[in-house]
Amino acid sequence: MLTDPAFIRKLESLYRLARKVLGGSMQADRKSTKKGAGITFADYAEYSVGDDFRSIDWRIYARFEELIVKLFEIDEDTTIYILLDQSHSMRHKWLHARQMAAALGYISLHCLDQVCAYGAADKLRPLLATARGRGKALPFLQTLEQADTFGEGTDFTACCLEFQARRRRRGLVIVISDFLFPGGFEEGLRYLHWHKHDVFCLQTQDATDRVCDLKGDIELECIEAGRRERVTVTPKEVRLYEEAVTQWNASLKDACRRRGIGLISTTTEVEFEDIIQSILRRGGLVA
Amino acid sequence: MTFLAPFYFWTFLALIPLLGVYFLKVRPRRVTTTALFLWMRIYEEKRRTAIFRRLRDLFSLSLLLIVDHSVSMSAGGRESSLDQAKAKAEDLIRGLRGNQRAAVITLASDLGFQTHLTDNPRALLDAIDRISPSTLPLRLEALKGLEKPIGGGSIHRVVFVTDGVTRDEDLPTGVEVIRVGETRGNVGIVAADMLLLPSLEQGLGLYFQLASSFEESRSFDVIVRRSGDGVIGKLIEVTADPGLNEPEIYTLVDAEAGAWELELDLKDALSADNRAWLVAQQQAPVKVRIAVEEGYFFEKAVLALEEQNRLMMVEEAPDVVLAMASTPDAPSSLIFQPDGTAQWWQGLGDDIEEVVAKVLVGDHPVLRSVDVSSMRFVGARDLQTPDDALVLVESDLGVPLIYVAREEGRVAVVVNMDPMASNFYFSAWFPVLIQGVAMTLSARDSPLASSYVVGKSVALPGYEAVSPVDVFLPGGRHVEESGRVFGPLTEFGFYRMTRPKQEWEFGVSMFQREETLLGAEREVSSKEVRNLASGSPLAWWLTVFAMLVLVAESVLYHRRKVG
Repeated sequence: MLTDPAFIRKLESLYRLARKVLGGSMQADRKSTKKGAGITFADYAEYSVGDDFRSIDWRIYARFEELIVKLFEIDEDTTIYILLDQSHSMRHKWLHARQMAAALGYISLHCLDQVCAYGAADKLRPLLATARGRGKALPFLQTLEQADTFGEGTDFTACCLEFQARRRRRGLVIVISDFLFPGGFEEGLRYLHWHKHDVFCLQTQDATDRVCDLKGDIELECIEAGRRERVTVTPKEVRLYEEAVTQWNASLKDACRRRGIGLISTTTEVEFEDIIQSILRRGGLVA
Repeated sequence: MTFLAPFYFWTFLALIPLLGVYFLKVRPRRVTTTALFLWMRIYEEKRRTAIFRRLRDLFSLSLLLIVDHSVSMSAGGRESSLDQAKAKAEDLIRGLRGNQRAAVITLASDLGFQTHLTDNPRALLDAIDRISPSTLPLRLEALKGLEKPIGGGSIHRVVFVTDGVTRDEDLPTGVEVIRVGETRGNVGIVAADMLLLPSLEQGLGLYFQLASSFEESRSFDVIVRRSGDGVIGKLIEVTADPGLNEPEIYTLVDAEAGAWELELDLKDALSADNRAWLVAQQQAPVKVRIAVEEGYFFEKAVLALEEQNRLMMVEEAPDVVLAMASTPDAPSSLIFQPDGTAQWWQGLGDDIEEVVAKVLVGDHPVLRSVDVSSMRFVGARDLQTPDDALVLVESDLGVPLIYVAREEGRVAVVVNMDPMASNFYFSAWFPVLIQGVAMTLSARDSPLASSYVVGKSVALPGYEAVSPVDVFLPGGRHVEESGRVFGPLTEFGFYRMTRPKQEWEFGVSMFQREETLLGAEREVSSKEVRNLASGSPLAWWLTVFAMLVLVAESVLYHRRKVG
């Protein structure tokens, strides 16, 4: 249960840990690299149509007859986007994934950051419209508690495209998933990264994803699409499957490393609070 | 139980329920998995390395004989590389056993089946005799068309007779190579371009690059000649060093735009690469009229592109009219923010909220340089397009956001948004979109190069044009093309294309470094051909087996006899 007092007490203690580890409120911990209206001078740029006339440096104009505008760092707070894999492949990890989403959302809302959450499967489904403040924490937990897996597959790339179309403001995108996407994860991650989001991947898998205990004639059924294949599994196939999963996870790690994307890879056997604590102790959601 | 008491054979009936129990018991149990795609990869890989495939050679009954007839194969004097390849192919056919079938295939840019699989040697030899040199370069990717028969469990051997391959990795698995010909001395043009220089009142820029397979440097003249009257525009003395040479750049002062020929004045192994056909294209800017009341931002956008000589703002006889919330009476127009009644939309409704744009025709020239995902369609209204409109971008609810509509010889691109509310005027994509639409509607969306590589296709100008293009080939043939692409270009020389009130010209030249170097840079393939007769026929094995049985039976009989 995501709304029972015991669980919320755990979230509260995690929030207190966050304050202690990160030094008070996390708001404005993230310094913006964008330039615009503010008080801290950043750079000069040529005037172009649409620029604020007030930012024109008239002294430079008087001296060189050139229109130059002054740029300032924007003062802004962070928007945290939670992309929770809600496909049927998450069925066995659903509680674990929701617990992690709940904890991250709870901490962010209490830190007065803007939070927005979507469920991703074959398409994007909103879980929490952009919200801010402690008062939104309980509705968020209730929504997560009622959420169930859906869809006929996972199209991560399409979900990322739709996400970007709906949410143009840059922010921190936390993807919680097993990352076992038949269409691959590269394109989606590349797209998010290209649109200047800070991306953090939380990969959660269960033991059956990584270790195979099958033997003999088996009819394998895809948990998402329902496609079935009859195969004979020998120790050789078991070994090959486990190698393939290891290689797949290694490719995710490599893709994240190349793009400077943070990644934590875990299993359902690890308690969610241990994972969140490890995130906090390493300095937050950083690559 | 003996044959003398066959009654006992009825006991075999007891096997039937046993078999039933067996099949019921071993019905595979169903297991759900989150990574079926990984499982399928494993079994796909397993299928590929199946043991019967390794035994293919043992039962090799068919031969796919591919003869390279690309342009480099015509190099040489009395006996070209192609002649040598044909002689080698004929030897292989004559060496086949009577029960082996073969097919003759040619390869340049594409595969050409000269015969089907047959065991008739006469038909195969005739097919080899008919092979003629092509003007096209070798394209090894075409061999992928054979991957299915090679890798699909069929019992084919694939032998490729060529003057060389670039890298063995380019070849599909299972293809064996026979190399013919030898490295000959050749110099050729491997790249060339010509364009009008905006800095000169009348002048052309010429760029070309040579490659040589000679072992020593060679000096000769390069003649730049105007096509038609043959007037020499420039005579350039060059020295070609072995291998790929540095590009050369020259200026032709007082030279006009139009068709020019570049010719190397020397004799070498291959003549096809000694000439290049170039057209210095002259493109006039698109005339644009702005029919917007407060057209400040439109003017800024057009003026910015006027500096690049792409657009020109006019009041009379425009090619394209830019409008907002109105429908100009013009053959080609770009209309922002549909409003009122017009032939370009129907059922204009209210504004739609939270628009998620989906690109439907991403390769359309109007959108080619525009990042639609960064455009906000604020003020877009619910509407229906005319019947034959082409919707390029629509919302997730199916409302057209950018579309091309045509009616009675007129064409309009409609952008369903309020550019002011969408902050589109301040976006870099605003002038880019205007340019894309202007170039597309005036059939200048695909500027032609001065010369194309033989074997390639050319995108026809006028993505949204309605009338077909008449293409006049260098050999004098005439083709009517109504598609968007013309090709492959198989002849060297000048191509001319016409459409009502419009005419274009371009050249087609060889421009193939590997073909020009005639294998000088190519690695000798390590894929040697195995003996074609390595697989013995089944009848041979059966005879051997019968002989062994006979010998064994004789020995046993002898032992019984002796005691």
